Amino acid sequence: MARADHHYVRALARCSRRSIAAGIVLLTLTVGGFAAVVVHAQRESRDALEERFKLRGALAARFIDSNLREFARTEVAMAQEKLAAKRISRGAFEDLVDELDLQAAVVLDRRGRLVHVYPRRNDLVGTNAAASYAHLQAAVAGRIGVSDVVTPLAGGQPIVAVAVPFASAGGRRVFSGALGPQATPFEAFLRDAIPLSSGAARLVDSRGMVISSSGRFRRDDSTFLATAPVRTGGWRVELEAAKSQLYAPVSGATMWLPWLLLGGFAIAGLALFYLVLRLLESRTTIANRSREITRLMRVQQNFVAAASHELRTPLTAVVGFLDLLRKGTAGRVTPAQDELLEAADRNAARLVELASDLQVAAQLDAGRLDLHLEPLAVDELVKESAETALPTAREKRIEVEIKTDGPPTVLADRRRALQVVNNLVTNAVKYTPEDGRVEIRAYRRNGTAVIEVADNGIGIPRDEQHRLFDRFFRATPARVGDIPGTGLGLSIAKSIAELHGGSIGFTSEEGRGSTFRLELPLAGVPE
Amino acid sequence: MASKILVVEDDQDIRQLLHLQLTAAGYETAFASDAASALGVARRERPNLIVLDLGLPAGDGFVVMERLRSIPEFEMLPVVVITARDPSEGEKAVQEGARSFISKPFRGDEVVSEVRRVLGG
Repeated sequence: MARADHHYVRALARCSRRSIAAGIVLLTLTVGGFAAVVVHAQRESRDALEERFKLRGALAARFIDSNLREFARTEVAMAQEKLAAKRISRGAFEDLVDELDLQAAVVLDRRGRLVHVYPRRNDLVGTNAAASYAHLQAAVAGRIGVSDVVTPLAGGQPIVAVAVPFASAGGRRVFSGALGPQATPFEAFLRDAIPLSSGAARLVDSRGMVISSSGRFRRDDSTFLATAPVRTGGWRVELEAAKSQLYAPVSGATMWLPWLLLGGFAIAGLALFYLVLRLLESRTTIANRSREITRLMRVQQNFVAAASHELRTPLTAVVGFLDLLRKGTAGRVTPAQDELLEAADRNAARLVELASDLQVAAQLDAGRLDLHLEPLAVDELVKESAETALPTAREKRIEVEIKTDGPPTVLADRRRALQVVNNLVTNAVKYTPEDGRVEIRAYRRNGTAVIEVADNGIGIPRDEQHRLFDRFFRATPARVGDIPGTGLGLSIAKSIAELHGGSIGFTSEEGRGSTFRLELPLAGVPE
Repeated sequence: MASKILVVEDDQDIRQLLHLQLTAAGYETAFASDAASALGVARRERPNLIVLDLGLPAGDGFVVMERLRSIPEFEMLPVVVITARDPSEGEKAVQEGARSFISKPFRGDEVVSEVRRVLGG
């Protein structure tokens, strides 16, 4: 038994260790999974913001490109109107340069040779222009050309040139005008491209030289840079924003709240886990305790069985020899002697009763009390019990009255049923003072036979009533009054009544009396 | 001639008690105190009935009954069982051929009346 207990506890402990491991793995996986999702979602949100920022750069680049083309179209239209003649007059060319408000301009023939330049500034566009400038070469080939920053003037303003091919009476020619960015709305476009207060934007040429700029660039880790090419020429737009500003929509609560929730979730998980462990633990404890209780009960049952068994043989001898003595087998017995022998016999009879009770208790414990059921008339049972109790009742001048309301018939084991009723009646007489009254009532109610035994005896204190059917329990007034008894009778009576499918209950008031109610199933009534 | 009763009982006081009760009722008695000697005494004394205690040293009453039943001359010998054991044991003995059983503690001349009933019947 102890070994089995030990194994059971070990098995439970093993099971607990397994569930601890499983719980930790599960919790880690869940929390880890959540963390991955949060990180991913936050990264995605930032990526989306960066994409939006890049898109804004691309839009600025498109805007600048279309303005550049618009400017080029104006150049072409004006050139075709003013410089259409085969020979281009100097005056017409200079008028055009002024009209377009250019810093400088050149006209090339279709082979790229210089036809006019105004004002004559070699540092600005070069004399062998077609050979040295990509934008002029593009225009000679028939496309719009846009130059890199050509020459910063003394004031620091960068100069760029836009070269366009145009048709004249002398065939295709090229007009290229140099302008400072202030002549175009580039800067305004750039400013519009950056609504973020801390952002900066600029337009740079293919070598990275700044054509126009809005705000200052920091170009370090705290900033994000987006670049978008302008289609015409090799220019590009660069946008820069402080990361703190760019990521503002996914900062603050958006960033820390998921982690806070995740932390809370992890703590809740751990708490739950702990509770489950404690539950498992207490289950083990309860299992152990219930085993211990079962063991103690078995010890008690074994004791009852052993005590009952060991009492029997010596009692047989005592009772037998007393009987022989009183019969005169060993010589004549004087009345005085017989009186003493009778007292011994009476007490021996009490011991026999105890041994018998212990035996029935042991049989009930082992589930081996067999019932031989037969139909029994309740009023006869009651009368027989009353007769058993009558000698004692007479001695105490207790009035015993029987009231039977018709004779219900029960299905019961005669000996056992009599034992139960006897127990109730003798108890009533035993626990009722002299000149008291005991009333036995038998009647039929709702398919059961009811036998009530009412007395006006010492009663049972309220706080002890719930223990009255416990084996070996005796109520305080019975013990204080030194009334003999073992505390076995009622517990056995209750078990026997229940074995019959019946029950025993009572109402009692200390000092006023008790009423015990036995219910047994009627014969011939299906259960 | 008086009937002879063989009492197989390990407790000396119970043996004496039964001796007094049975002889007072006019029976002859013979005794055995354990299962091993029971058969020998039975052969020697040729009893008309055996009062058999179930709890005996060196093999219990069931062993004695089994041995008796295996011997043709004792096959019909009536046995009354007395026992301090659970009544279910007594019932078992009856199933195995005992005429009846009496639980200890028995009162007064319970055994004598039973012996008289069995022998008279």
